[in-house]
Amino acid sequence: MNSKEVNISKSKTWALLKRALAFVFIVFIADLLTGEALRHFYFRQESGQLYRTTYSVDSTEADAVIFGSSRANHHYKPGVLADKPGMEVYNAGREGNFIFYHYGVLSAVLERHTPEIVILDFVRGEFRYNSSNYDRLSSLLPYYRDHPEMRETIQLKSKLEQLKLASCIYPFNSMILTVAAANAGMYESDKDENGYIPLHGEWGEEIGTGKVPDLYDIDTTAVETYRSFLEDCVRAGTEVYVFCSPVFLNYTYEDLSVTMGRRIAEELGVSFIDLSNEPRFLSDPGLYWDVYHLNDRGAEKYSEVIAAIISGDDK
Amino acid sequence: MPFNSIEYIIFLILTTVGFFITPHRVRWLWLLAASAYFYSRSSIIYLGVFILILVFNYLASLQIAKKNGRGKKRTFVVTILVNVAILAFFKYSGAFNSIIEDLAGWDDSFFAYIAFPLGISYFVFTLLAYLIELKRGKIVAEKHPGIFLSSFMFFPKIAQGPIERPSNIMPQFRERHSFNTGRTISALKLIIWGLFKKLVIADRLAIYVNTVYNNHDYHNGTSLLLATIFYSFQIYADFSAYTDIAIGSGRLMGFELSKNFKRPYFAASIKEFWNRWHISFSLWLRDYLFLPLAYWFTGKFREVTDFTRAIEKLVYALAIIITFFICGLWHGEGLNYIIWGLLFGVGLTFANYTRSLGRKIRKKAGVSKLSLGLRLFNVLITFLFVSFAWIFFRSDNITVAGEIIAKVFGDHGSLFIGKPSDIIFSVAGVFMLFVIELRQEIKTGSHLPFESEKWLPEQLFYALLIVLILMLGVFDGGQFIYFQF
Repeated sequence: MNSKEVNISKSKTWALLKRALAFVFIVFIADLLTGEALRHFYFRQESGQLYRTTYSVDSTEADAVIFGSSRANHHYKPGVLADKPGMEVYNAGREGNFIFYHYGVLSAVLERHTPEIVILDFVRGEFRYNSSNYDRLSSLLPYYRDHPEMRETIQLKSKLEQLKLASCIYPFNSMILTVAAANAGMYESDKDENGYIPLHGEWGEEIGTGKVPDLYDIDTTAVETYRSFLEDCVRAGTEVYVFCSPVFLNYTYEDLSVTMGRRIAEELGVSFIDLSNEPRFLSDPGLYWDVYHLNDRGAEKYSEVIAAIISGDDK
Repeated sequence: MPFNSIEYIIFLILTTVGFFITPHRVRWLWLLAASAYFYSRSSIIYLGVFILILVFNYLASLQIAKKNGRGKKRTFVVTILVNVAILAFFKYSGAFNSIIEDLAGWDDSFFAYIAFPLGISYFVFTLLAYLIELKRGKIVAEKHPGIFLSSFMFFPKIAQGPIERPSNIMPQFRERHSFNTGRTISALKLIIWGLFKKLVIADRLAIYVNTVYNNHDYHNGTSLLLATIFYSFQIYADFSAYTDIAIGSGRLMGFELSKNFKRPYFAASIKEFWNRWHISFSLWLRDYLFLPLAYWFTGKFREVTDFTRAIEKLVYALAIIITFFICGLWHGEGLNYIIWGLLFGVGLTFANYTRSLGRKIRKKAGVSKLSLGLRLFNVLITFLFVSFAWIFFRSDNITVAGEIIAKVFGDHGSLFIGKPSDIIFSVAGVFMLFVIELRQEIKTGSHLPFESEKWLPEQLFYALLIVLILMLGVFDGGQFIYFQF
């Protein structure tokens, strides 16, 4: 290669290098601007499911906070549970989420406020290993930046989650339409009652029998997270109750997760009360929306039972 | 280690950097180590199995090259049979287990514990191509064991193809590859496009398809029809994404893998579809199965060039049906896969028999063969036929496929929407794919989604793809569909 060819080659490489740097810069700017715009609109929401998570994480100062999945969200009526004047109850349950989500939100709540009471709704099979339970942690990604206390939990999502979180857009992945709809006021009509979403409608079928599941793999990370949930509450001086809320099925077996959950609760001196097969909720399908969810009437009745247990009136 | 993971991207960067700083004479060793690591992330036991298979084939290929006459033929046949037996053993262990269960009543025979090794079908088919080409005298046996091993284990293609011809891939392992900026950029563009197709299109479509197909009992024909159409795009976006990332990964280090897709849903006939879909597999079937069968049937080995006469049409029909039967069987042991393959075999035979009738109808109607309207009509019919065939492919078994077809043709009602954003993102993704491919089809002919003389629009386009991946990509979507084959 003569000196002229070397010069051409060098200038070509330099030009391509400049373009590569320009490309990285364009991607960086696009990611930053789009991500910040999404962040702005995400935290501007005033209604809807995403807003309720933000409220739980950033704002609630309720005396009692309820954690759990859709069953928690639809079963615990704050208005009924607030048994004394001035007591505030917030339902932080969110559909399709499990112990990792609950613990992430609890960490944020305890960071700035100590509720008097925490209720955790525990579901059968809570500790069954399911990789999608970790995927669900994407609900908490928007809070990663401003909530160091939640990071350890969020990082359970995947090994290299931190690397993905270098992007400003990624925490809001797949949320653009929901955020846009909430900002346009499309969720204003489905008002919640301190986080609680009532289900209207009645389950019309007779009670069935809960199918005995195959032996399942226990997710030890989920078990440890559950233990941390209870320990953190106990350490903070919060009274914790773990409830298994009613299911419209006759169970003929003891679920492995329930057994483990009860044992851990007992070790920590926490009340664990299994009401999944409570006779008061097995005779009337009219209390249910579907087999696994109470309707508003059922939630009212169930919340009365819970309030009585907490106040010591129902032993 | 899926191609759509951060782990793979880190692995690829390290492998590429390591490749260029390694001296040429030992690069095969670097690639072999990287490929072995890549495969070991799936199964360390099967990595050992693959290496044993390769050692066996390496020694056998040297014998085939050395021997003459009957000895050569015998070694060749035995080697082929051993490879086919290995494939059958791993691929159909489930079926063997069922047979033993039916005959002897054991429901946990030895076969019940055999897991399916990732990429075994591709691996064995590539080996068979090598042996056949060697026997035909079209290539010489690779004597360097390191190059032999590393070319077959090459990580971009081991899991899901393309099924490379030895004459294409092996010489590249002897060439000296130096870093080339233009080639690197082209490779990166292809990888970004592949990731976009997988994460934004295929895995988004999968959400609706899986919800409906996995609970088909609860869905009506309207939802199943939409899920079937979505599946047509899902499987294409998924598989072609894998191929693009594989080609891009190879290209980063200077290796050119074969193209596997050429906008198949723009095909105007089943024949054209198979010339555009899974091309390396279609060519394998054509060269190593269909043509030998056709020649064998006619007894006119090497002389027959077309199949226009009646007897040759029959030969064509037989050869094509056997070929597509094996194509179906290659995909899986279920009857649904065989039906899927046979549908194409019967469709191609039907098209061959009715070609002159079609010509007459066209003449009578005064429609030119080159008419755009006719082309569009044929593209639509082909797409519908292929989508219908995908029902068998996607269903768990033949009974489920039958139930779904019955609903698609007779049980309609309101469409299941699920999460509206999934439908909106899915339709937008398919639309974007369609627009880009239409532009490629009628204008550029390029394999890349966007090319421009000016660098800024091009940079903006690929930056937009990255933004869309981050914004709309499904990062928990999981594995590529064809990994199961």
